[in-house]
Amino acid sequence: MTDRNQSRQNVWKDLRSVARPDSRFHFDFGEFITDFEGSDQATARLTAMEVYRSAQVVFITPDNCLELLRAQTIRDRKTLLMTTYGIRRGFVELLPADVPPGLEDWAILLDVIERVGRYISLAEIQDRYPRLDLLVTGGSAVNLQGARFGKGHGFFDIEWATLYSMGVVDVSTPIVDVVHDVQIVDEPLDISPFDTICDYIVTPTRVIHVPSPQKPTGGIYWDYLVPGMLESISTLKELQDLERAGKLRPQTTGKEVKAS
Amino acid sequence: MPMDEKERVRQKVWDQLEAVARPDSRFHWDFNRFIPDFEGSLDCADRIRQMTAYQDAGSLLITPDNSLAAFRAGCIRDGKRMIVPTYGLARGFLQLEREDVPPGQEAYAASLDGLDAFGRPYPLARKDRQAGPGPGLLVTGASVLNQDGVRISRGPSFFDLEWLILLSLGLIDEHTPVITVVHDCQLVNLDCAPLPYGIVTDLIVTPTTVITPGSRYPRPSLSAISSLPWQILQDVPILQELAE
Repeated sequence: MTDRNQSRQNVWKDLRSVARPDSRFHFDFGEFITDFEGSDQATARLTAMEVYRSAQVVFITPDNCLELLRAQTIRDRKTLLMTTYGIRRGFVELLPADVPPGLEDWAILLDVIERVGRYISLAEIQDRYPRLDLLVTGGSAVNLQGARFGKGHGFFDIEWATLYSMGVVDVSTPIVDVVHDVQIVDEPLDISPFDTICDYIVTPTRVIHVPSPQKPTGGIYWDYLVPGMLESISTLKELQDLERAGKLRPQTTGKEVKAS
Repeated sequence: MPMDEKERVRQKVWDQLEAVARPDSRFHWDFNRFIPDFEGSLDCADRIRQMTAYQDAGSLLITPDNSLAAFRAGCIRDGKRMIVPTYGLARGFLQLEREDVPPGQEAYAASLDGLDAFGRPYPLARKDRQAGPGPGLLVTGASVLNQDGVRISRGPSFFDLEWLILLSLGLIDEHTPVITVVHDCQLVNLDCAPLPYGIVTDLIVTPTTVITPGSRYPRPSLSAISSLPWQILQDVPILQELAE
């Protein structure tokens, strides 16, 4: 098995030549998921897939490589849910009606989306969107078994566990990971019970289907949170409040799929 | 003034600032890492746009502080040429002109993400730069400022560094006017001499008032580069070149 930190470092070296800098973090890949040359081709591949075409409500992470996809989602008149960076201010909802035609590319930027869209609580998500149709994330690297490693914080695992506990996704909800080809590592990884495995890896050049991906059904693994996360992510507190109010309803009836 | 006293004052201001500030898309409420936008920043922008110094300036340097986003949008609408340092000077300076931004998208272009999308590199090497005048006006935000226009800070601000860079390239001189935009709660009554490389503002603009600091401190000379902390020279390669 491979040390994830070492793999991440190796990938970052290759990534530097195709990456686009962030407005704050420059090329500091430990701080953000970068956009890359060819993200337009990856977006075109993804938007041609049935899991996207049939989706009405799409959750997309605030990764820079997903900017074009977020804009296209609005152009295609789909509802967009996104977490704020680091989940620090919870979830944001952006509806096609919020965005003047022609301004889709700008409305979905991290500096803009919180003003054009609106914050949405977990309870409101449950009310308005009993069912999310598709989850899309980026990542630092992913192996061919669909095991991804993000910035090292496990934000997407938390997002999955939160949405799963709320009952708005289940193990059959498709997850797509968008990466550059240099971010695919051909190495086995230890898979933890809270690792959320994607169904598809989409790159500028290809789509890889992952058979039988593990989708954790245990909710948040509280003991494994990085120190400080519980304090900094108010969404986790919201989730605990929902639990105390008896409003969590994980959908355990979907087809059970475990890692092979 | 002792550092821990400065730190105490800064923290006290930040506690008040939180009530009127807006979080950053990345840095949330971590005022150590950014200068926030605040309620009334549009009023500050409107005040500056009425000033002669603004109307006379064809080009402006505007720092990438969130509190200046509304002002940057106004500059684009007014057809000003903007030079904006990238955050942390990581990628030098960007420039933006009216024709770079489609009408109706000025506010987007004025955000840091938008500047990256719409802006073009502003080359510092003389041979790469279109011959043209440097900025006629410098506008910056600040974390905490005293009544004399001195920043209450632990070390050089990025604006201090940018000023030294522009001076060393001959793009500005010691008379180029400097305006600093802060919320009223970021102003403190506290005697504090500027650091050797500290640029003391000519004018303080808040949502409610315009203040001309009474005592004018002289601008630093180029030799101030040598008194910059070693770590800064490591982090900002342009400065290291200038220092040599």
